[in-house]
Amino acid sequence: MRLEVAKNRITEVLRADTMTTSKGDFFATHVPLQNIEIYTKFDPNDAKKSVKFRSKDVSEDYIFKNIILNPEDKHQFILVMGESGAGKSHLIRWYNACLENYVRENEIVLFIRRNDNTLKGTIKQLLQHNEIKGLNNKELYERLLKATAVVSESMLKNEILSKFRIHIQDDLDTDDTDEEQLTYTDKKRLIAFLKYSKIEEKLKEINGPIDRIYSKIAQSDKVMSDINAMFEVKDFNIDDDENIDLLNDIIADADRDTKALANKINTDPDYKEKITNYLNSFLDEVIQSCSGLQAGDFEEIFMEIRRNLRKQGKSLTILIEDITSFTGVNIELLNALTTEHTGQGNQDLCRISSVIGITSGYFKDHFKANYRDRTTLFVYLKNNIFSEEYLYEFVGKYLNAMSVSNDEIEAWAKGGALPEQYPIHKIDEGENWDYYEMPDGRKLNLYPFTKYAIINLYNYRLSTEQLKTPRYILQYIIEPVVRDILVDQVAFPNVKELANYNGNPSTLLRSKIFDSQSINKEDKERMFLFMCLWGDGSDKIEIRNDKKFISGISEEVYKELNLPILDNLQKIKMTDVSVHKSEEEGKKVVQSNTIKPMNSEIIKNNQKVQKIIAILEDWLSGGIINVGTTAGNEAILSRARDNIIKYIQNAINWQIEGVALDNLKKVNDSKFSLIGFERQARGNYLVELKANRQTQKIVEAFVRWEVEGNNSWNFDNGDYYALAVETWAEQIKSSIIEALNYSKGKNVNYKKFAIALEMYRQLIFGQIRGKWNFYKSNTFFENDVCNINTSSEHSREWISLQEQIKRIFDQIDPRKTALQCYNLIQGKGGNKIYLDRTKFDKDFTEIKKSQLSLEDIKYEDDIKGRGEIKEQFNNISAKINTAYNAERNKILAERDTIEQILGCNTMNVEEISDLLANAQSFYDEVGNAKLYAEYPALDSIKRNKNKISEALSSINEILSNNDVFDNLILMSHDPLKAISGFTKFIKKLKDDIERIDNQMKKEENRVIEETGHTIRDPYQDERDTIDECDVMMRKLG
Amino acid sequence: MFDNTMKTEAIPERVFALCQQLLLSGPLKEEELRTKFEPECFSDKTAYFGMVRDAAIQLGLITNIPDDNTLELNVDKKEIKSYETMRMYINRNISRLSLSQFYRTTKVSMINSYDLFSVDKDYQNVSKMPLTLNKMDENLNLDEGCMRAWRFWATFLGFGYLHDMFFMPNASNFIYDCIRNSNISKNKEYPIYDFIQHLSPSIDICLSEKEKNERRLNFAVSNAFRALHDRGIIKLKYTNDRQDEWNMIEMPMHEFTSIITDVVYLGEK
Repeated sequence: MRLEVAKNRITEVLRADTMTTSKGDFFATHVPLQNIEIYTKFDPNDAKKSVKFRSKDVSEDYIFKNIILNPEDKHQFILVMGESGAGKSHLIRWYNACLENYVRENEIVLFIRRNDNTLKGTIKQLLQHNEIKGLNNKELYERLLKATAVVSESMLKNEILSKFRIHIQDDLDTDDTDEEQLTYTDKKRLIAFLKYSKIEEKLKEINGPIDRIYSKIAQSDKVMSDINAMFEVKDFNIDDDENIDLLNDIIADADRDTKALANKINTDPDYKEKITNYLNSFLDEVIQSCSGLQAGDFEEIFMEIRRNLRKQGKSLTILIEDITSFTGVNIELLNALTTEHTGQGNQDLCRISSVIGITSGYFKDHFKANYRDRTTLFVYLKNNIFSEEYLYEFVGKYLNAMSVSNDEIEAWAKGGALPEQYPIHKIDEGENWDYYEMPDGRKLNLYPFTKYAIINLYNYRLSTEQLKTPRYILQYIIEPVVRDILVDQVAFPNVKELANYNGNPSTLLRSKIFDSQSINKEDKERMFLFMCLWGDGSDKIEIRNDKKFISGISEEVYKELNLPILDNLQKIKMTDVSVHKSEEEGKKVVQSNTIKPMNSEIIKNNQKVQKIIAILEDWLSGGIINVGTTAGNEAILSRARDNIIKYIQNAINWQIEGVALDNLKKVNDSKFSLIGFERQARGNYLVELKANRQTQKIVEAFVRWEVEGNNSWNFDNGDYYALAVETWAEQIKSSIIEALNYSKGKNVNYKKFAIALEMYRQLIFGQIRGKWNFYKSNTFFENDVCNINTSSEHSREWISLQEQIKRIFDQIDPRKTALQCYNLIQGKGGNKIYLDRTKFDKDFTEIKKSQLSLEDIKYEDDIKGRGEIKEQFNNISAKINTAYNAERNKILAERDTIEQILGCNTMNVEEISDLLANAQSFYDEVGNAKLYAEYPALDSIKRNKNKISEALSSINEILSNNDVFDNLILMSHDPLKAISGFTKFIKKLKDDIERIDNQMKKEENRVIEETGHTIRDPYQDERDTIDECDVMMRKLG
Repeated sequence: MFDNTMKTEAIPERVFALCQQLLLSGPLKEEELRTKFEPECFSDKTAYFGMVRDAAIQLGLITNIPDDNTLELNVDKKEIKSYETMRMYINRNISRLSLSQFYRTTKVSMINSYDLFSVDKDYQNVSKMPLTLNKMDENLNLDEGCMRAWRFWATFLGFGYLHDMFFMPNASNFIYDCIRNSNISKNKEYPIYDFIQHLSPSIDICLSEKEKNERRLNFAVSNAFRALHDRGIIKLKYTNDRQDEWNMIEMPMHEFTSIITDVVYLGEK
């Protein structure tokens, strides 16, 4: 290669269309086609009905000498058929070039190039030929001249559409309805439809049917190849997502006929095809009239030429690259070309031999049977039948042409393009690369390709049969790769489209590259791609004549591209015998090492693994990974994912890494997997494994562990995969631990919430005594879950809170969570509690000191088992104030009552005893006085006087202190319950005293009424004595 | 645990927790200490504390004050700052345990690590390992319980990993500790022999004299060297002209298939 020359030459050499290539480049890049078949009868629908030509030799050369040169001087009508890009034009042009040197005297060669593939362009070409200039029919000649006049695009497009409408209208007027086509109403509606502005726009837009037809009529600078210049069924798609706006517009504001037609298109699946066929029936007439031609003009032109030549005693060979150059007039053209000179009334015509290029699709769909029957030979160019040698030569010649100057090439062409003088460039770059050896022994350098690269790229980039043609070899292989090396040799290969190549390379090679610490990260993918695409992707170093070939590529090539050189692959010394080319196998090298026979199970397992590797390669290339399925190969992937998770769970010492086993269990019980894959089809996960080579290796390891090792590491290279998994797990460990301990970047303190919830429970259920500050962790451990006291004197809100806490503990048991989070479990654990005491005490103290103010720890936790503990803590926390206030109010009310009755709110034990004694006397006196008051139950009050006294103190403390937690502890012991008997007693005592007073007053009144005397005061004498003494004392001073 | 019979209950986490408690509280009466970990309200089952205490004493982490029934720390607080420092301390002093069942079992497992890794699937479970190990060294006297206890410390100290109760020999974390405990310089190229000498005597638990003499690294140590290389902690090298070549267990797919000659310690990752 000579990159300096190629920089300037690449564009002119690689022009995709043969018409624009220079003559020199055309010859210099010509490789005889190998994909030729010849038929005398050809049926595209039924191969059995096709009849092959008698000769087995169907080479380009044979066809030229025996058919194109027409040695028998007979009428011929030859079609050169093939897919787009198969080489039809190239072949026809090649024959034209050959005819220039070998044509017989009196044989006129008329070559109609595809040119811009428009009718105008074709007519212009015709006008340049002397045979046309000499036409007798001047009027016809004028019309041809006029047909080449330039008309503006919009005018011409409008005219085309208008002509279709006019033809439909004419058809309508004749009222000659063809049942196979459209009804009268349909045609009427179709005119309206074609007039509707939005439909007009759609038909005229780029690549729309009118645009395509226009591009065949109007001359342009663009090379139009293989455009279907007619209506197609898809042009009437108005019911798909892409055209939904159009359909809405039609529904909203189109006329009635347009709406009706649109409706029929949507409801009748065959209707679009009917419209398409109907409109195409006017195609030729529309094109001709838009070109200013009259029906019969073209047939007449060729007949005139033939008559003129006949008069001159000459014959005509006409070569037409592409029949669609005559779109609109091709029927007339075919009539003129297929008319034999020997028929009756045709004796004035010269003998004609026609060679016409036609795509397989056009032949199948539009080339009518009557013309097929009149075809002499069908030269068919098959796709994808290129041998490796052909591809090497093809690529080699283009690379060579790029590296030789235009002047040198043109000089060679002018000199007769003799093969022995074929110019081969002097190599500047790629001396150590592969070569193609030409039949004369000279070599074409293939830089920047290797032979492997040419074959691999051909198979990879030209993935379908339709693409396996010379045109696409240029477009998709040669051009991008050469441009790549021209831009940057350091990053080569760097073609974006190649990045997804999966050539089923050696897993060992992959591991050697991607595991290597000495290869730069950025070089790895490049190197892997290069070795797989440019090399054979093998894990071998072959030593041939003391030179190393790594994965089939010379060591020197790696050096040139600044790629690392792998030296840790299996080395195979190739003997002269082993490098000998097998005649049968072309270039395949026979290796000296032997391959062990594999049993069927190993083969089957290997196939399974390879399928998964292919899925993983797709995933790496941007595809989706479908884990979660239970059938097919992807089920193996799903199990691999599950086995990775199991491994991680086994291999990490969770407690040592600061993850409670309870946390791990809660994650396992959630809808989240511990790990998932980037771009996985479904499911939630905590840690995402990126689509990269390392993940690929780990997944592959577990696929092999299952498939090849039957759930063990006992398989070929199992030790390597085990090591890879161990190392990977060490590297990913920190991110997994972080994912378990953190949620959205915040520490998941659910164990603290669990402790706090249990603290609330113990608090509200009265299991804590004394001051909050003296609450100890031992108390926390000892206070197991208990029941609600059903006969408490707590407020309704307090009881409601207790009930809610009980429900929570019945459901999620935060106490158990709290303890398990600090339990140092051996193995899978059991019921045994062995506390990580320092950690527990630290957290316990912190939570206690904060007075359960954990609301500030704000984070979202998607793991249900953890999240609900935090959620329930918040629920309880939010109700504490309500319960506290309600309880306090109730206590306050009771204290006020006591104070009202007793005049005080505290009583020590002695005072309670005095009260009870006085009460006893009172009731005794009442009894003695024959008044009625039931004795209260004083025994239980006597027994509980200590508790009553304490409770009264607690009540006062609650009402006088502001420390909520201390008060909650006091409240939780239900002081109202302790004084409830006492409260009842004093209320009764108060009531009884009042009642007895009333009874006594009533009795007094009754006596006064009955005796007329007031009842004497029983202490009146004593009062009188005291009064006398008082007077005496005063007198004494 | 680290005398004659290994005990399942004395797991590293409990030993570490015991050290942490003594660090926080200072010397404590044994009974008081026991109830810290096993409060009375939970101690309806067999107490584990004694086994944990014994393991900690055997490892030299704590000591018993004679005649006082009091336990106290026996190491500087920096040694028990974290699990990692405690592990490094134990690994630094591992040769002190050379007579213990744990040490002997580990050594046999390391030297025969490839056989253990390749053992038939039916014998892969840790509890089945005595069937293989007792044959390798009949003085080990191992039973299922011993091996269940061994696995906790073998994985903690970095001699391998567990996969579904299958022990996968890989001494990378142990050797990493040995490197950090040694005076090996960073970024300096050491011939393998010198490198290994720097790791002595700790490395003797996983590399026999015979292997050293034969310049052979067993599977667990080969895995360790490869893993540390893959993790970027050390850099393995093969230099053509070195006389002193060491053979790792053949692993065709690894960057270093077998022979190495030099090691460079790159530092912590």
